[in-house]
Amino acid sequence: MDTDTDIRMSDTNSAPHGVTCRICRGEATDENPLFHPCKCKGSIKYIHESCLMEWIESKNVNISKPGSSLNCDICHYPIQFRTMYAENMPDSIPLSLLLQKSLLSLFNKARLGFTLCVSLILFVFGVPLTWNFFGKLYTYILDGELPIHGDFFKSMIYGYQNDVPELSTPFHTYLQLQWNSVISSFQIIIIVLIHIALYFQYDMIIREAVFDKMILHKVGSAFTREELLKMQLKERFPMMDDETLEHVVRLMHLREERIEQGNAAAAAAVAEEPNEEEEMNNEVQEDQSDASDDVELDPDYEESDHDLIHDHLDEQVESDASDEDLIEGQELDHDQDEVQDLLLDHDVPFHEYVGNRRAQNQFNNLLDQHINAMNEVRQEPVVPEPQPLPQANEVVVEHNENVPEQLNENVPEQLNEDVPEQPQDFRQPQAQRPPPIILDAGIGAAADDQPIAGPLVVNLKFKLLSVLVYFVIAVVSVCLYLSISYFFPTLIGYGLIKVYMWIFKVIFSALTYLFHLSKLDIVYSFALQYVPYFAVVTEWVNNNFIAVIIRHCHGYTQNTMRNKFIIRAAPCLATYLTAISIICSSSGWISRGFSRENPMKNRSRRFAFQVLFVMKCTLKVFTLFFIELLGFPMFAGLMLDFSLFCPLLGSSNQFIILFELCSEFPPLAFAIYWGIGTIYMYWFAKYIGMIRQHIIRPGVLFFIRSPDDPNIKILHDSLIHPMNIQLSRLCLSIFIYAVFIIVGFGFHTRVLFPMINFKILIPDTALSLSSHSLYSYLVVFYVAKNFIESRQGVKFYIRKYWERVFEVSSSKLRLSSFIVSKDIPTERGHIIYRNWYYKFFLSKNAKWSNPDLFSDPKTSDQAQALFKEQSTVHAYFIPDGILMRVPSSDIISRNYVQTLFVPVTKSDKLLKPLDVERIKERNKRNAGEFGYLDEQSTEFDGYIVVYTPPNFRMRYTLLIALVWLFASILFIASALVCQFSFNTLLGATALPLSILIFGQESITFEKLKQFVFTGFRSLNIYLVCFGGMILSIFVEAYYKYDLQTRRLREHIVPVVEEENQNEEVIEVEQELNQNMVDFRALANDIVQNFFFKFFLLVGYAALITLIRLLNLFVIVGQLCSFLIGYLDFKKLNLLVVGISAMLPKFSDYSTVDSKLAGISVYSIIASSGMFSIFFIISIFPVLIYINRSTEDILKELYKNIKKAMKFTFETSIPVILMWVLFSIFEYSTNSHQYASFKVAMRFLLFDRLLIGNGITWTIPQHLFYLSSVSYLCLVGGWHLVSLLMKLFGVAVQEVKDEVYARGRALENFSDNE
Amino acid sequence: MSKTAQKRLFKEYQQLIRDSPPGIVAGPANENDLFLWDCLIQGPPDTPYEHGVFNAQLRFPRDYPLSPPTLTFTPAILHPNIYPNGEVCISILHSPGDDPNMYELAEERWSPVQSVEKILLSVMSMLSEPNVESGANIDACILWRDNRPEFERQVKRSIVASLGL
Repeated sequence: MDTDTDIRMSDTNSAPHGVTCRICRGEATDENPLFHPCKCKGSIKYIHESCLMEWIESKNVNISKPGSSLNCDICHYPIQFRTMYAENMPDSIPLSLLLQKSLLSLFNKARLGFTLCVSLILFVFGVPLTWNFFGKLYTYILDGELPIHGDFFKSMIYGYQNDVPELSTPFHTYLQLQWNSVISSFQIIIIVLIHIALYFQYDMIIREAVFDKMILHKVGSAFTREELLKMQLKERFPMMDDETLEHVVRLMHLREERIEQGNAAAAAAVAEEPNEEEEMNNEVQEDQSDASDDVELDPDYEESDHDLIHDHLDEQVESDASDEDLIEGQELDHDQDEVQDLLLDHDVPFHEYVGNRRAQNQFNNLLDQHINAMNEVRQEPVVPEPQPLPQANEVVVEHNENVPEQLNENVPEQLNEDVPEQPQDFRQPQAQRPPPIILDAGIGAAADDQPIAGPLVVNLKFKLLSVLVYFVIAVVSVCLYLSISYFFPTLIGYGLIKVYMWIFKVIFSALTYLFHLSKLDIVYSFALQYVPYFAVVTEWVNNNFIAVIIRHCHGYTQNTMRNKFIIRAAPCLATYLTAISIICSSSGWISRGFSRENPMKNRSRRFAFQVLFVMKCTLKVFTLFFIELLGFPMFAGLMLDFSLFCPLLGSSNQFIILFELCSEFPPLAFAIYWGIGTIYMYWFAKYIGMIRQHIIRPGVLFFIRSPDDPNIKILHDSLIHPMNIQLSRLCLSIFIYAVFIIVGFGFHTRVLFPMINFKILIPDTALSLSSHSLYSYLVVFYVAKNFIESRQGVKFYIRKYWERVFEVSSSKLRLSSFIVSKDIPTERGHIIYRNWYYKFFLSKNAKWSNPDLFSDPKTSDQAQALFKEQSTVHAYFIPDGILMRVPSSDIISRNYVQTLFVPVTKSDKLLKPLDVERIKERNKRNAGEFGYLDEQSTEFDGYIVVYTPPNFRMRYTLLIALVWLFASILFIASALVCQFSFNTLLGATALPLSILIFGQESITFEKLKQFVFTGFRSLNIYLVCFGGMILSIFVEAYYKYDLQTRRLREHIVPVVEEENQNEEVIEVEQELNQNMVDFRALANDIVQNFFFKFFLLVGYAALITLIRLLNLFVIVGQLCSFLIGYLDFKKLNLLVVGISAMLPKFSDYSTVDSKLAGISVYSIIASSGMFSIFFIISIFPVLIYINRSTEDILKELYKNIKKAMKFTFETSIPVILMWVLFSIFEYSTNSHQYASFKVAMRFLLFDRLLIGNGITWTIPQHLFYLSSVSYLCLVGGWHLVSLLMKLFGVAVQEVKDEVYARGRALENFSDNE
Repeated sequence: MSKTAQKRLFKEYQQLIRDSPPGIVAGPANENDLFLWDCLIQGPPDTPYEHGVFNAQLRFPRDYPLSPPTLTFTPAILHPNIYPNGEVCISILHSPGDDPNMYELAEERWSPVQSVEKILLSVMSMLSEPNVESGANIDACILWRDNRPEFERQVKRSIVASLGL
């Protein structure tokens, strides 16, 4: 202690006089010296220890434990602390204590590790295998027999697989189990994802405001206004008896009516007022719905906690989530008092919606006033209070102060998190607390009861036993889930299918009867005979559809097609579809006869309706979203495969190619399709966005959704629009997409190129396409895409191109006014010529012959007459077309569009009146039941009048065709340019280089030459991509140069005007300097570029992987071959075989003999699989650096590489040197046995071990193995010892901290640290 | 606790008396209560608030300086970052744990290192550069963003009114 104070004293002395503590502004005293524990400087450098401790305490951070650290708020440097130890601490810790403590901690860590391992194995392999087991078990129970007769165990493992080995070794069993668990995990993940998606959908739907309105529309509100009032009053004043209640309600009612009358008068005067009120009400509604949802969701929070910790329960939980929520919410209702009911019920938000809402508001106001009045002047109550109330009054007055506080603080807290430590406080005042004023507060009151009925405190512990218990729970839930979702539906499905088959049979026989009855068979045979191709078509239909259906039906009934997925799924599917259709129809059936005016009062019926309705809505929205987000892109990908990949990469005879490429794992093809389709759609959207923003007039593409459209409320729309209309809309857009893709790409690839034999655009199919090359295509393509997309210049020039295209094509088609909003007078009609000769050959002369061609338009008849009168004029301008109202913005509401596209006069008067009735009729038809709930923003509605020429539709179609044509030209031309430029570059640089390096006759040169030459003859994706990247760099540079010169010009002009030559010169000089700076900036940009860093990291990862593999190769390989080959250690053999079996390419090694196994270690290490594993291991830790600056990354990487190199120099290099050394030794002693030195080296390392005991071991051979292994052991031992020393140090420190530490003290920050 | 606060407030008051920044006058409202200060803030030049002198109240918590004080303009002034009731909403007046959305950096918020002087300086800079992204008075935000002349007119009018002219 003395030493401590000494140090402190010296510190205090070091603090200069006059400085103050940064917290209390006090100066240093002897008892309370000032410290400077962090990097802060200046007036905030110093601090009192006590002040700092206070501040830390107020932040709820515990710093007293040794090892914990805290950063300064300002300089973010760890505040310096020093651990103080007890005075009686011995200099060396007694060994017994050390042993005791470290063994204890070791034991704890080992236990934790063991538990982790066990739980990992149980949950990663155990649960999927359980899933697999129960799935198979249920299947066999349903089948009534085992697939492999009499062998339950084997049936469980192999199931209905085709290639069941006759004699199953444990090894085979292990492989099969591994495969089973992979498949099952896949299934589990998909099912969990589906459940999560469904749950979120459900959650979003019940949060959606319009959903409540839909329910209200269907069944009306649950309570009338009076009931509501009464309930609220009862809640507020619990001691009021019924009679008084009635009385108060009546009074309020009266008062309300009076106000309402006043309001009605006011409303008549000010038209806005109801709107405002409505808005306010909406707000209130939203608040309430949110709040009520929160309350309702609480049970789920609890469950989600469960899920976090053992997520294998979640199938069970989530499968029922949609029901459970409602049920639990509803159960709460039943249990607890009316108000909760009122709040938790779905209807709450819209009780007041129609007639009640104003009353509701006023009621709330009234209550407020009432309380205020009572507080302020109790003598003259505004509402005459009946006798029993004084009690309540007192309560109100007493607690009036708390009310706002509780409203503001407690309620949100309670709603957001169930505060476990507070329930006592809340339950106790519950009895006498005044009921809250507004509805929101009512929720607070409801929430007060939450801790009682509320969530369990989930207190899961991570112990071995509890892990086992969780596993058992998971197993049980898997069993239950599968039985609910698979076993019983299939069982029911068997019966259902029988029924359906029977119905189908009846209908079918009836149809055949009708067929014969109506003599259609005669017509059929007649058609067969005389209509050409009829027979072919019917045969094709027969073979491809009817026969397949019949075969499957037969297979199902005869139980012969067991392995077919579709047969297995049929009963289950039948049950599910039946259930879904029952759910969808029954909600309608329950609510039949009820409406807003005729509300449903029966509570259980209401509840049933709500459950069914929410399920129906969830299913509907889920289906729509599923189609839109998954099905749509996949379909687009499929179409792309058909029209682009298959003809280009495969052969034009096939339809699609990706499934063939992904034959190893067919579901992957779907993922690839999805990815491709998404990229395509993204590009399409980007293109649309570009032309919409920069080129065409706003409003042309009003039918394509714009991302900033306020009318897009996807969930809202999918809820209220009828399913069939939405489906037809989706189908339409899918169809349009498909047509765009098939015609846009397919025309070229499938028709044009083969027809004109344009070989260069069809890649060389001789390059056999494998799945690997597909992946590399995808990767290269993606990298190139990102690279090119990020160039500003490329974007700019592409935009210029399209601007020009649209300008030219729309002016040719006379659509300038409509498309680009450029009203050109000469487009407003056509020119009529004297005869075709003038029209086609002398059109210019003819135009010149009429001096006022455009200023003096004629009608067609006039022109004909004038031609006869005047022989010198050969052309007249005939105006035609109409003016039309078109949308002036892309984000107009749907209903507004219906009133547009009508012809108008010059002064914007309608030529004929709008057919409002028809529009309304159509709207009604499209809107469906809930159409009136759709609120579209009309903020951007507006139209402009543009000129449209005759044959508008044809011209518009032609414009699209022209756009397509120019797009094709752009694509093909840029592909060709990229390819040729890169190929030329390659030829110009690589060929001479290869001659220089390898010589003219070398194989490398020949190969390269061939490659370059084929590059000129056929398309190659790599060449196009690389060429594109290089070209884009040039384009970018040109763009920057262009921009600069333009800026320069624009800059100089004013300078010249001012006649200040000097400045101009300076400016130019500056510009030149600027150029230099720009180049530097460009270089810097490149270095700091994402891709540069990425490649840097990839390169690093490759290097470090190579180093690590070298080490592994040398160390493990040497050790293994020593143990297996030299010592003939059989047990290790099995391990090697086991490892090699996990890598796909080495499964053959399972049969090798022991000697070979030693060698196979080398091959395993040198295999590509091992490389990729190590590569992934090395790249992931460094990927986090990608956001740092390049210098930092280099520093970090250099450190890592240095470490790795050091290790290599310690281990691998000496062993390799030994190998070389002993090879020389061996070769020199037994040179007659080896053909060359290389053979000797090879023999020493590999072949020596393969050859059995036939050849005697020579001394160098012995020496090599013994010395290398002993050296490795030595190095390993040394490392082990140093590690142990380090561990010992750590352990000593830990024990010191644990046993002798007596708090911590501040320490001054020293700069040299 | 409150002793520390008192000591510190007294020190800060002394400091402010010794050299107060231009345009700011602040001190305890009365001798007995150090926890309630009255401040006079001059509107910064070249802003709509120029020539105005605004009265504000600083209310210190008992655990000052661990928790930030609150600053309220009396009467309230029209500004995007001042609530209609006059309370000022700037990051320096928020304690570090307050903002769950992490709109504000930890460095910008209250820490015991800050002082009354810094708060008042921040308020002056807030007057000249409103932060519409985290507005307190939505109407003022909209007005400031969309109709600057009208905003300035209203501010000027209220200044004239407050000066009793």
